[in-house]
Amino acid sequence: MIEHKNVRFDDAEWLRRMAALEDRCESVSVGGLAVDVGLYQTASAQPIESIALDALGKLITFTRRKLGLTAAKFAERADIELADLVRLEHAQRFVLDPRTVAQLAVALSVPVSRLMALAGLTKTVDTELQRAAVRFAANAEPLQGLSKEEQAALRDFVKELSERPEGG
Amino acid sequence: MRKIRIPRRGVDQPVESELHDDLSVEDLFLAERSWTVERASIMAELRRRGVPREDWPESLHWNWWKKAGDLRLLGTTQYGIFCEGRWQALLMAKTVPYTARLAPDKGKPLVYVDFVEAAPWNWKVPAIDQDREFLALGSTLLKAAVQQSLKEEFHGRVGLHALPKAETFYGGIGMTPLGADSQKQNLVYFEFSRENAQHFVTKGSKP
Repeated sequence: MIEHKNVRFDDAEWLRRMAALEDRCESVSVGGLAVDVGLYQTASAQPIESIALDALGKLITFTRRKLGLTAAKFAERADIELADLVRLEHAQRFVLDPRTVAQLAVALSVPVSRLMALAGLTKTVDTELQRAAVRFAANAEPLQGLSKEEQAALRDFVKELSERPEGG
Repeated sequence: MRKIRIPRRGVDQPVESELHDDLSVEDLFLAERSWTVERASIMAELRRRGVPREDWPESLHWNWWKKAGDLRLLGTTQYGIFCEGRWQALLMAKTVPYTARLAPDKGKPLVYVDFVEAAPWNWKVPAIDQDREFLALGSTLLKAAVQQSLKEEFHGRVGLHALPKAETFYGGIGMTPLGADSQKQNLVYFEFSRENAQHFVTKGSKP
């Protein structure tokens, strides 16, 4: 195996060969960082389904109110754009980027993978999770204070997100 | 920094350049920002010619400068190629938290390439008849990443997620495609095995 100190950057034949290869290709760009910061969106990225969006918005609102935080404070704590938080809480359809979902999962204390599934960012559809989202969205109303029923609904939904094994 | 030579279109001999391996994250994004005017020119020409958005270079409208202040990047190494008074291409690499996916080294540490970008005048943009000015930039930067992997005793293992228009290149140099990664917006993940990394730095292209 070649050693790092023997790697040459002055091999003219290597440069000629690589120049020819690169010239036949359209790009050399990589996208890991772009995905992580939300710059890259696939053409097929779809807005989150309305029921899941409703459930996610209510999950955020209820958790935020339970913590006694304004939307601005919660967005700051979660390190996401306030505009995205407002859109989510008002169930406005838009393409949710993975970084925002990951940050929200941490702020909401639920597994990242489960929130990704709820947001429709995983390949497999988790039907049980979707059903849980429907129950939660149907039973929760965004009142000022959380009623006992809302607290129970919130507790059950977070439990569903956190404890059930992954997979549809 | 080390002195290197880079091929330039229309010039017989490679041109003297510098390979820097000590850029800060801020340096990298300042360098990328220096490409703003040229990027805007390409965008204007694409619009003028009515080229559909899906045929634009994938990174053309990305505003890294807006994002750079949000990035809290630790443990990264930034490389750049500097020639004729300008940054020609940039790369960011890190060693955590990624591990190899390719057998038999699955789970072992590797150098993960997070970011590779060439200056806009080094893009191939067929829609506006633009050819690259400098060549072998991506290859040279990737060679630096493989060298880092060798130095770290990772035996040349390097991984990255290619943008769709770059899949041909990374497959062509002998990196193994391991399928679309749903955790990275379905970008295809490529990885160098030990053997192919060695072949790449000594011979170039696929074994």
